[in-house]
Amino acid sequence: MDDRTLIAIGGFVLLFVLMVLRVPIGIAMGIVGVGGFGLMNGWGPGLKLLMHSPLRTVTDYNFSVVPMFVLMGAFASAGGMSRELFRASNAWFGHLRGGLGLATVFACGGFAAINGSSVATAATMTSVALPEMRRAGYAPSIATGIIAAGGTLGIMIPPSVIFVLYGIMTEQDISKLFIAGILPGLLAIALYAVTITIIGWRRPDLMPQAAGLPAGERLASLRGIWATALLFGAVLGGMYFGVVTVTEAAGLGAVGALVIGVLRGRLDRPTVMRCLVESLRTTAAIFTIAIGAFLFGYFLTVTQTTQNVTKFLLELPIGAYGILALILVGYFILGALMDELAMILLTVPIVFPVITGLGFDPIWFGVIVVMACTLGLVCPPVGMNVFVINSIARDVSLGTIYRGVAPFIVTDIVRLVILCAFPSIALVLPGLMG
Amino acid sequence: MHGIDRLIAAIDRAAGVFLALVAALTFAVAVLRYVFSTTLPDWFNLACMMQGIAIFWGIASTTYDGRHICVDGLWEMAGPRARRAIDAFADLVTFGALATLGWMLVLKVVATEASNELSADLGVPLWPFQALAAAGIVASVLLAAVRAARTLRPA
Repeated sequence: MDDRTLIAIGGFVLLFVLMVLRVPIGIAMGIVGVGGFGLMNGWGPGLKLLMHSPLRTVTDYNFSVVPMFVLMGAFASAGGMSRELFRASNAWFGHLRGGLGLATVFACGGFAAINGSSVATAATMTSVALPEMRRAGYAPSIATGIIAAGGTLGIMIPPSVIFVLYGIMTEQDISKLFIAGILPGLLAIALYAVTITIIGWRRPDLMPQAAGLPAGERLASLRGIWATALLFGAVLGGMYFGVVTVTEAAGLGAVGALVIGVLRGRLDRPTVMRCLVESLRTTAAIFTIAIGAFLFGYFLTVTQTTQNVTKFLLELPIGAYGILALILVGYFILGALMDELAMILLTVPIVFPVITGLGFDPIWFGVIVVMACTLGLVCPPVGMNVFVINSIARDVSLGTIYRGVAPFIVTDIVRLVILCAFPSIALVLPGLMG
Repeated sequence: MHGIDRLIAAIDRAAGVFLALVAALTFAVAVLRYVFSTTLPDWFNLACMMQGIAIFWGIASTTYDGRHICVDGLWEMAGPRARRAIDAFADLVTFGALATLGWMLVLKVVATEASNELSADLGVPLWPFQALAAAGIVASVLLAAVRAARTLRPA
């Protein structure tokens, strides 16, 4: 075994040890990146990476999309848009069997359209929908399970922070990635709705049926969702028709959500500042991983890890879909152990050349990667959405939430198979963009 | 509120304002371009630098509050003493890494000042912006040291 291979293996072992010992993921990646590069090329050049790479990352204007969309979600949530979406969904679907659950999933889908984070979607909907479902007699397991699953729509339906990071890492068009996520996101909503309906029929005791609302009240409930529709239309429509770039759309979304909230009298100065600080902290945590990921990229380059992994996988006698399945299994395992953002930034530089080498479409694979992330968000032992819901609804145990989300994990796997079998579901809309 | 908490709140507010300025600038430039077919000189350099300042100062408060993204599996399973040991190790490693980064960023600022790097349109020196951003990481180092000292202090 040559020095390069030894350093590569040692680097991954060190990365694993540091991460397990709770060193921030970005910092662990940075240490291995600089250390590995230093061992191969000398400590002077290794340390010099720190002079240039982190500053280049935080001043990269492409990355401004991340804080802008995080900010847009924060303003939208504080401005009460999530509550309006739930109220409207509930007015129209609440009377059906499993109606409140359906309303929650539809509201999650709507909120996902103006917010790029699954964790934020799950947290917001836990505050908005969980009390309503529990008041209506829903079992805690199914109520929280629906929110955990619905929350994952946050990263599938555009705008999505994960799509942004994938796009930057792989130099793919972020607008196309966003548009590619629309139909798979709608498919997810449809399949979740089917799952809730089936559970509602088989176990009516878990989801008692509520009384319907008069038509007038239903129509009135739609009045509140104009702001969400306007924001989504302006941001996604602007990108789809090529009127604005992704960055401009993100700025438009953040400022638009702020202006709407202020004009409706829902965002005062302290609330705006709270949204800014929360967004900043979320963004700083994401950027720390991004800084680490770029430093780690140098380690991958000098140790030729990417080339070796690519060569190894492409030579496996299991065919393109066999290799894809192997990669996805790896994602499921990693997704169950670590944060999805870190997983993307750590692995995509390694597996992306394999995917393109196999002839798969990079935009489609972006959707598949996000799907793998959504599974990681709800699978034990580290389902981030489950943890977030548990942190808000302290009286519902992690085990109860995992039990509730289990049927939706099956649904997600079915959706993943459908997307692998029919890539056009993801590719048809980007194909129309030209 | 303790002095250090007040400092963190001030850092958060200042960095948050920089973030707001990036959003406002992006929006304003888009409007100027599409509506008035004009643009602001040096907006790109300014937006990039303000983003860098916001993020590096954001890292300072995130580090102090321990809000970085971590793998918590082992920590969740560990007992109180083992948790303390894990926290101490993680805090010290974080401090060391940030100190190295801070040192190299200071050298970067010095190099930028020496090379007289200027913005594209107005020819404004870039090093003061870089210095303000690097100061965020230097603050992170100090705050990481405070955090590590608190973790290491006997219970």
